[in-house]
Amino acid sequence: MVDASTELELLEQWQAGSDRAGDLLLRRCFPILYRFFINKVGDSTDDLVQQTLIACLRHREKILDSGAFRMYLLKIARSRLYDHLRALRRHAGHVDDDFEQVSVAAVGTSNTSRLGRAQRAVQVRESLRRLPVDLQVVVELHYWEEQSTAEIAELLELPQGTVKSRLRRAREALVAELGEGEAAIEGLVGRSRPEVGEAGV
Amino acid sequence: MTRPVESPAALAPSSDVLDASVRLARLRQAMFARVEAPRIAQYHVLRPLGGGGMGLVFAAWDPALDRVIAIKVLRDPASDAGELLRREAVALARLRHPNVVSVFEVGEHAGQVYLAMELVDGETLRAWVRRWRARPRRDLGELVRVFVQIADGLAAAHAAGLVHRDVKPENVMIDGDGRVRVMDFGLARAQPRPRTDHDDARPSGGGTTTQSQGLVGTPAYMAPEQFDGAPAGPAADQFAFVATLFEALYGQRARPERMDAAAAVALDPIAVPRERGVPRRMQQLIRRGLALAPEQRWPSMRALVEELRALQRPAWQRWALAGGTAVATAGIAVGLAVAAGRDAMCTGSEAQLAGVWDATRAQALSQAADGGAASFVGEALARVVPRLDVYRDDWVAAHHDTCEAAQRRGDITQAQMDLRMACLDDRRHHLGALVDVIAGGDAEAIALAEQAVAELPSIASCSDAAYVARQGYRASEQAAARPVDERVVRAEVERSAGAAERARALAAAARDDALGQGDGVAIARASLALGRAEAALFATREAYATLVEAYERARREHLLEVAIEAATELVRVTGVDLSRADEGSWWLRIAELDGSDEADPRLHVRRELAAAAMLDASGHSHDALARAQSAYALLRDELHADGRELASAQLSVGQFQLLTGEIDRGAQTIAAGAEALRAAVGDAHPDNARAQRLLAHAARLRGDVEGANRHAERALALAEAALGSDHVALTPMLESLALGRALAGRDDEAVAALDRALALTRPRPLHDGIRARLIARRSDALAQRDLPQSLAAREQAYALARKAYGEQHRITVRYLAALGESLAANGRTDEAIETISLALVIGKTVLGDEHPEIASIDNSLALVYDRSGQHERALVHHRAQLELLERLHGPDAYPLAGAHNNVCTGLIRLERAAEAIPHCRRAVAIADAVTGESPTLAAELNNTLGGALALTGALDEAEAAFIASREGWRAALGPGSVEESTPVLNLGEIALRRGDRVAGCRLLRDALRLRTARLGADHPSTEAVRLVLAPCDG
Repeated sequence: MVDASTELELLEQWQAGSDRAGDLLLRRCFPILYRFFINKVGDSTDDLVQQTLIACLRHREKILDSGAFRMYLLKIARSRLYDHLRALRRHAGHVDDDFEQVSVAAVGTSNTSRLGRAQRAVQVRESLRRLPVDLQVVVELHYWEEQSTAEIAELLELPQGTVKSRLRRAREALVAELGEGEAAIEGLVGRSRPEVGEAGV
Repeated sequence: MTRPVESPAALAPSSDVLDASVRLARLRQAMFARVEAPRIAQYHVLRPLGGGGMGLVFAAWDPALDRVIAIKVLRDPASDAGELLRREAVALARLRHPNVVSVFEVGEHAGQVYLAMELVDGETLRAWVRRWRARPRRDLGELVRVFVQIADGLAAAHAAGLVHRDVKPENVMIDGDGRVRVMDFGLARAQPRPRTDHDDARPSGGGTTTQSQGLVGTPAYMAPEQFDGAPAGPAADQFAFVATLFEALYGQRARPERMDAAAAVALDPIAVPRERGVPRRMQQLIRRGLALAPEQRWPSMRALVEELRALQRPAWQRWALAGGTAVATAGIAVGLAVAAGRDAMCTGSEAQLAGVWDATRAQALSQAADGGAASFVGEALARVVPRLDVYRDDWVAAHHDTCEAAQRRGDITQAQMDLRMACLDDRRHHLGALVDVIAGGDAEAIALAEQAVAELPSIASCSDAAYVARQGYRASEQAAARPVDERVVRAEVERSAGAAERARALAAAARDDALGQGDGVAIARASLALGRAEAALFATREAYATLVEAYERARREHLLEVAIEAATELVRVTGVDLSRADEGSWWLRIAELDGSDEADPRLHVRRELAAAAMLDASGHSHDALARAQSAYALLRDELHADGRELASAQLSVGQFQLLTGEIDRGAQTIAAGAEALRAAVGDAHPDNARAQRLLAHAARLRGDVEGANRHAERALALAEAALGSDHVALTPMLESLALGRALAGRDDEAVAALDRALALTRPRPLHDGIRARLIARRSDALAQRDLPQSLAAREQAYALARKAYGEQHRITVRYLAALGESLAANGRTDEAIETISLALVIGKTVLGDEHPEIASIDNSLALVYDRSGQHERALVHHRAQLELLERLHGPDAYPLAGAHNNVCTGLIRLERAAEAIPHCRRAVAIADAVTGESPTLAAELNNTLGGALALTGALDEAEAAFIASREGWRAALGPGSVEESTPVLNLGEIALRRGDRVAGCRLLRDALRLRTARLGADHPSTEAVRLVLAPCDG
């Protein structure tokens, strides 16, 4: 079923009590949120998707126009992700929250000892997971969600220069990790993007 | 607890679609109560269970069978290893073993190959071992039990030509019942790239199958040859298995976890620690299993299992089992033959029967034949062996032809070939099971197995597309042919060879598994086998429930033959064993409706024989005879049965002819059948005993006392020579002997024969029926001699019958009526009338009004009324009996003779002699016409006729009838019998009434002398003669 309503309209209808609108919004936002969370938190993805959408609902007034919805969604997703990782680290006895240094793999949100098939895409995703979370987010937003450095800067509330330097550092780390040339990294990361959709099932 | 969830991050991108769909569906349900479970083919995905080597695993619901299964989405559609993987999965689906996870279906949905399989609710071996090691006292036996199961599963896979390639603690699940399943089978083989472990990704470059075949597995469990890139064979699985065992025992890995470290030490020998509590033999087992060179390991997984099993047994038992090596070796031979056969299908047809039926086994059989105590065994085997050879040749030809048709000529598709092969697998299992039974069986088993050889399922039908299509070898169009459950086949064969207990255990285990897997086809087949075994064990109620389920399942799964077989068995169980004639007829109708013309004539034969038994039990002996004749005709004309089988059917026809009162014809049929049988099986075969027993029965009915005894003695001698003198199968012969002895007036010998028969039975439910019958016979034999003892025996017979058959059963009712007669004979008339009246009411409820048993109960009641002087009432029941028998059998049938005689007697007692005479004349005429020279019956009837005539004053005619009676008894029993005394007494009275005192008194004294000699001077019957003699003394 095609629904011409914008995400913002759906959010408003949902706020007004329409579950059908909420359901449509969930289905529309799910792919981007899935891609954002799945490679970072694994099984907690469901919870974080739900928390993100409910946060959108609660802070509807902060979304100024429908064009900014996607940006706002990712902002909330990012803050949920950081909250989640913080909780995990506290649980593990850590106090520092420097996600510039800490990688998802180090936080231990998923079982890395039993990898599945060593396909190239999986290797790339694994390498992404070993980047500090901030770098990982930048790279994935850039290559998977095709966001510009300006958009990412706004989303992460960082200067654009910082985003550019993070992107560069992330590329260098991936080159070291994957043993491929700088030019190849771009294609590799793009192709490692998870396929999401209801088709085929 | 289910399998631990693995991070989806570790999955190939192709799985993302599904993983995302499942998560979205759950969110929609959680947030908005939208229930739309994603589907894979017909399965509704419920939740992710984690990832295995090849993709995602989900719990899913199968709405068709309402069961939860595990579904594995296997691969990226773009991958080049697709077809290879698919074939692996198909092979896995054909493998069925309790210790291998069951695969229900392999299919493709939206470009993704998926595997539907059993959902194992339990923990991984790793988790189990962790718990086991944490215990303060570790039970090594418990560990070995688990590993024996793993090894069994792997051995079965190897036998099916499958190599696992990734045996490790994560790929083994243990459910709550302690049953082990090996999972993720053979899938590693299809991996396009080497597997990585931990963070140690090592791409090997290139993704072709050949290159990938070598380096797969998990480093810590990989065999040295795998590091060289050599193809992993069964020996590599063995290495991984032993490495797993090593780790469980010593709490450390045999090899490093990381690929680089593992590769570095791959060729270094592994030191097996010496640890207290680990037996030396176990250390040796591990050392050999971890040998660097594959050929230095155990020759096969099967050999390793045997060694592990041996470790489970205490030392003394190991000694005792040393003699069993030959059996184990034979098992290995079969396994290897099968494994080899799959690789070279069109050339290996013959090799597939290695160990099943080959020169070695034939030789073993002939040795068994030479060693057999019973002389007929050698002859039987000499008949059986060529038939097995023919069956083997047919099988090899069909197998080869099927393979060629599919692979060379392309006449049939791969799918059709799968079905034919599954059918041939079934036949191969039948052959193997039968040879095992014959090789290990006693004389009786071999005699029975000969029939089972004749009934081996047809090989030609495996080439019949319509037939194989309805055998349920395949769950759906996409699925691979399901494996034949060997236990079910074995159960059927064991039962047919008389080992019903073993059959029941096998079938019950198979049925439990089938139920656990929710596999309707397997449930139907196993239930049929189980129900038949239960019926054979006389567990009638269980058999009924099991067979009804078998029938219903078979109908649902469109298994025509299974449905017919189940309905046929139910004809017997309901109509005969449960004495529910209406339901028996109903099942017969169903078996007939289901049995279309193209079905196997064997099924028709079985159905006709079951129908005959059911109709006989419900009192329709003429219809029963017609069915037996139809079975005989089918065997002769359609199945071209051999001499033995045909002769047996002929004997059955004769038996039913006797039951319908066609005594002469029945006797002729039986004599012809007996002769044909002897010609077919030789003199010493125990089947001859049955023929002799039936000849004895016919002789008794004809009043041929001498013949009855001669045949019964011969029957017993034959059975004893074949089966030994303490076999329960001797009881029918001893019973026959007892009846002959009783007829000859040798009651003591009759009782002795019955006592011996009783001593052969065991106090088991299976024997309750036999015991009831023998005790009832015993009470008959005692009735003339010891009334209280006879009464006690009848009480016992009734109690046993009630236990064996239940209250509402024709046999129980019969014994209840007999008990009533005994009560009457002991002077307890009121109780007697009450008892027999009760029997009559139950009888009419169970059997309906029109059943010969009812006539017989009417007769009992009439006799008791007569005894208590209530002759009017007696006459009512005498007449009821006569009318019923007339309706059942027609006016001229043999049973009418006795009934007319009874009515005649009743009328005489009421002094209505003129009315009595026509009945008595009719009785004599029927007896003369039907039985020809049947001296005893005619003698009795002539005596009654004489009595009636005498009462009306027709003294000349009466005298003639009494003389005929006396001559009859003399002819039958020889001069001087107690029976003869009755007409002699009557002749004396006639003489007295004519005034011929001298002749009269002489005759009366003759009668007195006969009775005193046989019954004693104090017997009431002797007393009665003395009373009549009083005027002579005066």
